[in-house]
Amino acid sequence: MAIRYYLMPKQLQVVGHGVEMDVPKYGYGLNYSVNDFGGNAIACVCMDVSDADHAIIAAQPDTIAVPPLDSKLTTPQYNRFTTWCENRGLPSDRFNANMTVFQILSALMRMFAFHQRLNGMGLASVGTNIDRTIGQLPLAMRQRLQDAIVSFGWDSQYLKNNLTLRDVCKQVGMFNTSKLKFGEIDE
Amino acid sequence: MAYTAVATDDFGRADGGLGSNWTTAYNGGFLVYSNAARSNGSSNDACSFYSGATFNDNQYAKATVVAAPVTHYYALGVATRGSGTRNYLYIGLRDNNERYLARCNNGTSTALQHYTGAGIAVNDIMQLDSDGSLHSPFLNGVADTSLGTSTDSTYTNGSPGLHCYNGSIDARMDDWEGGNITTGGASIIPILNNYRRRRG
Repeated sequence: MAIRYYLMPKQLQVVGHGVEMDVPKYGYGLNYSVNDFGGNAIACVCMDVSDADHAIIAAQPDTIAVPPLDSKLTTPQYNRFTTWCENRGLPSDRFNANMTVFQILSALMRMFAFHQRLNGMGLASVGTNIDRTIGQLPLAMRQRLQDAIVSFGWDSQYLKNNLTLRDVCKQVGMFNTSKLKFGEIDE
Repeated sequence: MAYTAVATDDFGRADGGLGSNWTTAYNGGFLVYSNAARSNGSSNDACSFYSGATFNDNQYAKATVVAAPVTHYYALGVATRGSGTRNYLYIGLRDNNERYLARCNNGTSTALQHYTGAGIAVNDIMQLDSDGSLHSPFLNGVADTSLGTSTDSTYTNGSPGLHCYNGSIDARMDDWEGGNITTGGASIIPILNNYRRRRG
């Protein structure tokens, strides 16, 4: 068994005896930790897996098997990851190819934290078109963004109409320096 | 870290509703039965949270398992930051040897931590701390490192309480306590955290 990280969908599943939960799409009977993208049906999952299980999970077309934390992504891996992000409404320009996998996952989960808070405030998703400006968004969405920013204790004057959702999601993730524990990540 | 109890309940009263200090989140919540708290027997999940006091955002809930049958489908535990129909929950299953730390939103739960290897048993004391964005389970006064701490930022406030799934009327908890975490932060190292990695 080994600790491995994946980016994969989550889905509602009957687990145990009749307990229905949103769980990782693959390997949900194993021991795992989940850090999800708010109300979006994807998550970063840390699992204790056998080599055989890993081979099955890593082969799934909707899943990215994350390389060891100390490593850096190869060019094909980096390109696949950034495409995966953009297709799901995550600003890939938050990352660069020189970052270690540890740094990438840390930055990703700090962006996730903002979307979790939005979800807790009733906004499940901001959608995948993150190049819209704040001024183009419905008033209710702008208000949720503002509320979430303020709830983290950040500057209430930050949100301007000329910022894009990409800017906001990226920058609030960078503002977030709170404690993060996830598998082997503890910072 | 220091704990300050705000409310306790030993459910030592006549069978029936939990009383005015408790609010049902959904599906009928919990009831008093044989001087303990049990689910209303709903086929779905149920939650009650303590509304007879005000709790800090950083809070804990704990309770003792007094009945955990193997012949019924159930998951039983404690909850934090309950409000409306959402909360964090720490539940265990006896017959499946599983424990979960999850986030519930309007009756739909998302597993944040899952452990297979041991569930819960009679006399187990379950505790869930929600401190900032860290949510840390404790079993019998010791950090449940098998399950591990979760980082989740969805909910910031609410009240502690009780939670169950498919609650058998024979699955009961007692000696509930809810309170504030008054200083510091959780320092639980998950079982998966065999060693720390710093930014490379």
